[in-house]
Amino acid sequence: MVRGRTVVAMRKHPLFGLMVEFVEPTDVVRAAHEAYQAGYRKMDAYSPFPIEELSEALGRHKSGRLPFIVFGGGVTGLLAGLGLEYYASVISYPMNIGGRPLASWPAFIPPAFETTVLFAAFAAVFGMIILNGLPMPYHPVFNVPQFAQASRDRFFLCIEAKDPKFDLAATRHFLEALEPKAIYEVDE
Amino acid sequence: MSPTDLARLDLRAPEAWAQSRRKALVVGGVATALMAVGFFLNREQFLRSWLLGWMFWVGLGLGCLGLLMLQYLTGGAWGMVIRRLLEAGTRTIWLLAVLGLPIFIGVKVLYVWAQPEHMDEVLRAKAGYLNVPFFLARAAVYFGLWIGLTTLLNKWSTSLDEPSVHYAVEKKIKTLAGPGLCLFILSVAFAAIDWVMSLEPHWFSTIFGLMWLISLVLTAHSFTIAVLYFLTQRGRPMGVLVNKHHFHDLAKLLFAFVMVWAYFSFSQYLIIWSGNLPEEITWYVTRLSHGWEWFGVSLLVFQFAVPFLLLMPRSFNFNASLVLKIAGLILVMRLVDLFWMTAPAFHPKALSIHWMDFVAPVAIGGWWVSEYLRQLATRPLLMVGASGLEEALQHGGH
Repeated sequence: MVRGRTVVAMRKHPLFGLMVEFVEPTDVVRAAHEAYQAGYRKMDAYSPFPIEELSEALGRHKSGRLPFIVFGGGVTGLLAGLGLEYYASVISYPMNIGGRPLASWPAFIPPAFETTVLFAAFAAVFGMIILNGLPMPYHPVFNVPQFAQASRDRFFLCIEAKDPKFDLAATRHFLEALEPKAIYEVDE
Repeated sequence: MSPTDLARLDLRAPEAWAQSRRKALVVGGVATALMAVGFFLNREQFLRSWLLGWMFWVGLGLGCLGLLMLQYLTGGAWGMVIRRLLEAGTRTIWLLAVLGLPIFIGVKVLYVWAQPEHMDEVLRAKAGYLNVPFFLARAAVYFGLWIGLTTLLNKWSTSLDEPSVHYAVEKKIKTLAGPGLCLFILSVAFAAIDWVMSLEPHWFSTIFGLMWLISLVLTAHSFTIAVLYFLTQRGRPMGVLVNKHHFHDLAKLLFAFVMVWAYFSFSQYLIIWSGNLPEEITWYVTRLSHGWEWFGVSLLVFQFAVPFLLLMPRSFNFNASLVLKIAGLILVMRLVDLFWMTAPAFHPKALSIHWMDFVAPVAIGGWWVSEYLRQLATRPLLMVGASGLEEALQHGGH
């Protein structure tokens, strides 16, 4: 405890978190998994390419809000499409086509399907951007020079100081046990 | 786990399933006896019900063949664990050919175009294709092709049970699977036109063959999911080797097949509805009136809406017992769909369900399930020598 406090007192910038570097993708997945098991939640992993297991190891699938946003987008698109067609063919410009009812649902389905897909896709893209906090011109992890390799051949896991379970000495000890290539203190 | 380690495991089908085989035989035998009684009571209805049951189980056997060839072509962890289940399904096609004999013998009773008293101008013009000798010859060609493909695929894959490298064999199987799949799709489409669409010989739909194709793929895929689920419930070794990621993949694929079914079915409906031509629209007019419409509505709800919504959330797809229930629902709806396609052809003016419509699928099913379980027991449940099996079993792991 005392040691941890002295370290913080000596810092020029407040601490953003602790980051570990790995050479192998499987190591970062394992590290993320163990950190999640240990109770850490405010953390993120960085990789040059997508690793499906990684988001699962970070517990992202459990707390994901994106599926609901996409579903909401799809339902909105369906209702908007049907509403548009109903307005166009029944209210605004009614026209007798082969004696069919003005509101003919079979004919309404293909355009309504398209608007469903369109709105769901937009909800997915923009929902993803917003949930990720993008655009983000500044991020503390770039204060670590070695982090540039995250876009080439290194894999990083960063546990934020905001995490309730975070304790500089204990977290550092935990991360060292994962045998990373290097461990960094990230400035805010 | 390396191929040599896998080869040491006991990969045979569970012993207790031999018991189920006997039960299936008893059920099939009793139901067949009932059908025999039905045959003397009402010969026409016997054939109509037999066609319903036969089409369902033929779809199951053929779907296994189609999915097996598709799996050989695409690869993927989902298929490595079900190859042997599909293979066992393909080895039942000979039995389905035998069980089809009542249909082939009773062509003249079942199909209007084979009855001289119902001939009209249109049917005379179609007689070049729709005549009894050609109908039987085509059926022989279809079954010849399917049994031929089955024989080759099953013969070559036996060497994949040895835990060594078999690139030559796997290449041979893949080379057959490509053209085989093309021929399979064409033959299945023609078979659907012959056996179901020609019940109403004045009517035609160009997408009808594809609708039966997706129907049999849905049937076989749902059935295979159920078999795999029960295999994994029995503990080692399949319960350990097959994990939730395999079920997740199978569930996603089932979701895709449900969408394709909805796409084909709606396409046919929309095109015929838009055209509104007398020779086409009658098919739907019959099926959307006199109580038949409830079958259409039930298909919309239980073949599309319910599986679609339940298979959408990711967490649901990981829930193997829920996926099993959806697969069971789809199997039931396949039978309902076939009934909705065939029965109104005989009773266009009133809803009619005969007791033989329930007994015939059970009768054929009893024989089929017993043969399937017999075939399943003849080979290990995994091809230990297949390249990529090790990776497939580590699916989702790290």
